[in-house]
Amino acid sequence: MKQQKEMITMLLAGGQGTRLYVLTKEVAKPAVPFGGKYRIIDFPLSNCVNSGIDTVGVLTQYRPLELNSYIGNGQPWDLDRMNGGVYILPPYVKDKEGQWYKGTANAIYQNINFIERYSPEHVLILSGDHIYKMDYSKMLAYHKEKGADATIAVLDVPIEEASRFGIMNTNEDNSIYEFEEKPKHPKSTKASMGIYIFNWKKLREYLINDEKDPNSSNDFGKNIIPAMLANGERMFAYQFDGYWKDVGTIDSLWEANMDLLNPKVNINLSGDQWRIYARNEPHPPHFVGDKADIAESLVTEGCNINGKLWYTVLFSGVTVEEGAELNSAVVMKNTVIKKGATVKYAIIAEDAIIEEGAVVGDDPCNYSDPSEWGIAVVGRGAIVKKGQVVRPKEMIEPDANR
Amino acid sequence: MTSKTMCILFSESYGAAPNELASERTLATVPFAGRYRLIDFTLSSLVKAGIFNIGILTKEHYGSLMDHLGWGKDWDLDRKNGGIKVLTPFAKAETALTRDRSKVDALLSAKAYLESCDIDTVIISDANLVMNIDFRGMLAYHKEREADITILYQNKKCPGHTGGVLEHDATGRVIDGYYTTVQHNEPQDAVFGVYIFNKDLLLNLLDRAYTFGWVDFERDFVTKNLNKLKVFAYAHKGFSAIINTVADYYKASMQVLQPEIRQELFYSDTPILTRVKNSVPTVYGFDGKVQNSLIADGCVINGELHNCIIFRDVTIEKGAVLNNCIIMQNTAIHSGAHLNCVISDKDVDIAENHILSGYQTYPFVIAKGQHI
Repeated sequence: MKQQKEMITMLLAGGQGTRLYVLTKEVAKPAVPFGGKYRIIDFPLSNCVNSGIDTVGVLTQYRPLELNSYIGNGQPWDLDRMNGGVYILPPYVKDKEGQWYKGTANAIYQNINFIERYSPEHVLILSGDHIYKMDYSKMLAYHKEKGADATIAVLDVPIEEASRFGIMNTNEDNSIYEFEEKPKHPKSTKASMGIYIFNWKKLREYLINDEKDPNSSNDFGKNIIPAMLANGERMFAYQFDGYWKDVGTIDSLWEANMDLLNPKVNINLSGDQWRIYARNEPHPPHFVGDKADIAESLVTEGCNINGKLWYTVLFSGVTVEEGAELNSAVVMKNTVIKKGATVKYAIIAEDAIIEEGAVVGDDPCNYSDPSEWGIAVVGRGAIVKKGQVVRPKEMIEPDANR
Repeated sequence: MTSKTMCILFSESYGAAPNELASERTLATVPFAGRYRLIDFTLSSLVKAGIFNIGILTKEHYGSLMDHLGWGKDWDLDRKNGGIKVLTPFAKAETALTRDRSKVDALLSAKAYLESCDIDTVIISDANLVMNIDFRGMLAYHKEREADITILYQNKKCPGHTGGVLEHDATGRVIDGYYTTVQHNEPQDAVFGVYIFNKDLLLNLLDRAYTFGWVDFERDFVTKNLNKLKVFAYAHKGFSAIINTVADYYKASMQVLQPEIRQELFYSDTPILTRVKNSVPTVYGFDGKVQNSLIADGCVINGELHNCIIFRDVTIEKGAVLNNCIIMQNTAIHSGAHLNCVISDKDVDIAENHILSGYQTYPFVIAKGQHI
């Protein structure tokens, strides 16, 4: 018999991440690499373990192969458990027919059986596309203290940005009276972080009813939360004030990487407290040659550097040859930047080759019209040939030969 | 089939020259090349050759070994059949005095374990070797020659080498073997302390060892039997280093800074496996200046490094200058400190403006946990 759990996590990892374009052509968004040796999903998974949650269902649907093999048996996150642990939950065929996950709520609905195995009192719903460190046990304590049916984590955002988010309008006691998705005229600055704790019995009821409604998009933000509000359920906003970043776009992914180099930004990955775990391959330490010049950069093991790095994040096994120059670049694992190549304000995915003298991206200072400028992106396995130029905002497809 | 093969590793060198870096840990777990322990090289070679049944003989202060190996998961050695087994010493009243005096004593203590394993061939190896050993080739050679014992050797110039050397005939059969203390300038066939035995023979020799009170493994098990047994020599090709003394350690460490040697050691067909930790990537500040150095994850570099090996989670402050140093895990070198030819063990703290220097042939060693 399974041991009853107070709270388990359901992690929505099926997102296609279309706004990451070439970076998610072959992998699901949560498997996108971040910060030198992590993937986005390492953050929610590590947060769970550090918060004392030992059972996590990961709902996958879009290009799951790499994500599945990355999570494996969950050992890097200490989630290889006899009772509980991490489970990959893809859509599957039922009695008569199978169906894809139609929406976030439907994904949970289709896995009611999984959740019931642990008969939890509460369920934590997360998404796999945010970079943040958060203690969910504190949020649970708050949820219980308020006797809430649902608790939604919120972050104060600048009022001018509030219309990009789902905004929670709250009473003085933080109870939510209204939820507005991307409001034109926001009444509050409390943006939903996509982190929910539900009373499981209650949520189960709503999921079943929502499923009966053929007009529903089966989505938490669009359907479940508004339905609960309409019925006057006890719903509270839980204020979070640490670093949190949605890395759903090329710009935000690049910015979040650059944030790691900014001492003013409160996302410190080092230290033994609240460590972020990842599946690592054993590489030798990185080597810095005689011609190297490195400042304000992050370098991971297995790299071989003989060029110039400036505000750059290098993943494991990257080679930077003599005379190559990198500025404000994010370069993923095993990519080679050859002699005299220049990479500025760019993201280069894994296993790419930037040949001699090639130029990728450019400094925004050189553009008087900001609309002409943007981060340049090279897909995984692509080759940028000798002397070729990849302009700002341009994207090179995976395995392209340019 | 290699599955009928097991390996016994010695975590200590039994009688070789003392090594300050191994005073609080086994020789097998002396940290090396920024993130490894010496034993990782032999273990990785074994795993590469499909040998998954490995017993490790211990003598004392083997806590670091247990910590490092865990259940062997990082080497893919957490197996239902075989896997890694740390053979801890145990003293009985009648053996307490002789316990672990020598490799022979250590092997005798593992006799029951050897007998219990369903194998026919035993590799016996030291764990202080920095090299990729081709165990697959060596085992094939052992079978093909129908050898009783096969010894790994390399013909090389090793002026500093004091240890076993062998002589063999054109067929590879070993005709002489001895321990040299004389400094040679000519290439010689140096042995590594890696042997393949047929299991029945090994058990028989262990019985004799017990009966006659043998103490010297090389002499009593191998050299004495050269006429009676078919003992063959298998040549190692490529880079190799045996780490006994601190001087050996320093020399081999500095060799790893050479690109060709690093390439051969770490980027052959499979990687060198080691315990995986979760350090963050290394952060370079505005004032870091680094040349020809190997740097592990988790460091914060703001000072100057030339020809250095820096382990995990080390902080080099602005204005610190290090030349030809090896700095182990979790050490802080504060601003203005100048270090030359220093090997600093784990958890060391070197205060501001201190000047410390050893010499290439006699590096200055700072013990674990010291604050200077």
